[in-house]
Amino acid sequence: MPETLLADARPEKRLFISLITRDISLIDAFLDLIDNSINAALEPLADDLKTADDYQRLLANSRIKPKVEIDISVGASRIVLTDNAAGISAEMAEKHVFKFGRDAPQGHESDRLSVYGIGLKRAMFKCGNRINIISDHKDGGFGLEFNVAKWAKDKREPWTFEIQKRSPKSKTGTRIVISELHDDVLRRIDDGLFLSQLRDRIARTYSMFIGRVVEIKLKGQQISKETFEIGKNYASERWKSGEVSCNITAGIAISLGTHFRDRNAGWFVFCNGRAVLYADKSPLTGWAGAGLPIFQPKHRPFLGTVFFVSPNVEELPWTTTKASVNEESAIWQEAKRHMVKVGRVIINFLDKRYTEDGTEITPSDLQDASQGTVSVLTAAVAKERTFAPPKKPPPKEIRVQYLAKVRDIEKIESHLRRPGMGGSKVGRYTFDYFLKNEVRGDE
Amino acid sequence: VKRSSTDFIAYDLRPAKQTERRILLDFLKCANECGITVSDCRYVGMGGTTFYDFHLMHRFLGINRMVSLERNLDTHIRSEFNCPFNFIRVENVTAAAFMAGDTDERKTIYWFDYDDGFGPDIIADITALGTRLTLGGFAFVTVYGNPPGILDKESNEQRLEYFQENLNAFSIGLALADMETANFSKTVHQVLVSAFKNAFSARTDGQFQVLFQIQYKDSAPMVTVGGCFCERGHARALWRRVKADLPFLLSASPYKMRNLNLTERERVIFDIAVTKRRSNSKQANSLRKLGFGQRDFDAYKDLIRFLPRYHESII
Repeated sequence: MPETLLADARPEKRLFISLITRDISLIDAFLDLIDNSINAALEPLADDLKTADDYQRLLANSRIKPKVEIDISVGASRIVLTDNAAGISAEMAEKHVFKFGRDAPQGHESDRLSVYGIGLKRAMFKCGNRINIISDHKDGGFGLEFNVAKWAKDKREPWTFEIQKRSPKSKTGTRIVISELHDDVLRRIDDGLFLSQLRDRIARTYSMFIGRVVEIKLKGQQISKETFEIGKNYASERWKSGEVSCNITAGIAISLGTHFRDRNAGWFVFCNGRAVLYADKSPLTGWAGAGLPIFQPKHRPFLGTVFFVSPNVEELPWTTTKASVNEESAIWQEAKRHMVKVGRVIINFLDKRYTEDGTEITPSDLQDASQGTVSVLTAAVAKERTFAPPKKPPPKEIRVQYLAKVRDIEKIESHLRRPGMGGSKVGRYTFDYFLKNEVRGDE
Repeated sequence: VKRSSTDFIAYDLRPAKQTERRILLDFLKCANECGITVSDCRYVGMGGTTFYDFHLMHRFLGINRMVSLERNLDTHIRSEFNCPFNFIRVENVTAAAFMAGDTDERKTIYWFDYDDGFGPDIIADITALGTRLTLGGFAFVTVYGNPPGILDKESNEQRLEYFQENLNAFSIGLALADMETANFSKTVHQVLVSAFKNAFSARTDGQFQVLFQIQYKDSAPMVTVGGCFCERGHARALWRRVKADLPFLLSASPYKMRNLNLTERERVIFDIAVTKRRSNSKQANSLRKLGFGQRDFDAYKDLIRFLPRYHESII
């Protein structure tokens, strides 16, 4: 009997840190930090946010005012995120918050944006070497002073983070300070685009929550949610699979003058109110042979939304970075079939914009087809309906085109004693002649 | 389409432009005194038919390797005719084409004085500068500060859409208010600064500091943004030097050059008034009686070394 050995398969911390931070962009790391704060802000509302209808009620209720403020400051020496949500209790921090990944049963029923138990740590590791967290909770919070490089060298097992208990506080909230920023991060922050890109992504990603659940400030400046509108004449479908409900909407975007913006064209995908895909026009959402045609400029008025909701966050088809969808997920595959079905109606209508015979749809026809406007988020969670392409009276004229031999045209020109008359005029003359002498003569 | 001021104002009589040239020269001198040698640089500019900047670069800094870019074929012929020095090579190319084909690796001062509407080509040129500039080199870009001709008659919505379609990431965050003609110079400045930062963000061999930011107007509003790409130690020294010699350049917004339009007699009194310790000197009070205010005194103090004097020389 050969001896059985247990080969060492423990993960190396250094490799582990590199793996989890490599596939996430800096902006998505910031969004991970914000997700934690919004997740905490949603905690008191979680019981009322289990279906798409619940989200619609949240949107429609203008009496709901944000109770939580998230303040992000980004400087050359540190990144600071502060919120005044419920905070993290010492018990939660000790047992769950710093665990890499979570056991299935430990998932909190109140979690809406916290999914895999990796986001906070990954965001911290991505940004810098030194992390300080202070969280005040009504049952007692915690403090953390953490040096990533030191921790990576520490070979002790099991992996732990040393946290300090803090006494219960009535004023709750969390403050995360990341300093000793990595060179790549410093360079990206100072690249002249980062802050405006981050502001833009926050405004788009959390449009469902800004102004209702949270207010978000970046470098002291409040971020307004990005709202865009869709024509009231849209198509939608709803379906359910397990605990996941899904609403799909497609319609005509509201134009800026007579122009339609590329950044608002395509599919937008939301999971529990958080956007994970924006204006997507790729095969991932069914374009280019996956049910819908290759996206062309004539399709720019197309605006579609896919709104997934589930109290069981792991059932949703988002990736761990929440920057896309898991293409292989059965829920997503099912959604895609419905997206093609709903989207096709709009695409068929838009395909008539520019045909070989010119356009059948003018900008004013598009306005008429929209039939008023509605917020895209309201449409995303509204009841099912179908798109009604506007009925146009049949055309009174039709273009007649055919090929004729040059010699025959010249013969007719010569017969008429009008050399150089040209093919078009010969065609018109012969048509009128036939109509007058053969058709009307019969009447 | 807006006409360029070069079309109807003699180039010699653009005082704000000449003041800017002199400030830029002083900026280069600051760099020289910080150990960033300027005289061995090559100068690549857009000399047009007068080559004013080329004259200054040679006479005051001793630069004697120069290239003037002229994309317009008609002007190129006149450019070659008027070229003042034998060491200037006049090329009939755009800045983009020049940079794409240029293999000279020596330190260069690039000043792309476009006299042109702001658009995606200029951003692409700045991006190319980010790959071309060697350590100890300089890059400056001057752009027309009103909406470009093709957008002159368009609504703010159409202008915004044009930039969203053509500037991609650089248009993120732009709003309709930024498209107002009155605010457009500010928008141009903001995007140019972002473009410079972005162009050099991936360079690990040095640091590009946007230290030169000026807004001026002779007939049309113009915006210039630029700086030096150098080692971190030099960058700190240059910042300190500019703070001491040209402090007005260092605010977050561009320095707005005031058009003073003074008589020779007023200038003589201004010279004394702004160099006296007391603010209520006899000279200052006499200028106040003429209607000059604190902003005029401040502007004159900033620009005292740079304002040109014009004299009729041929009768």
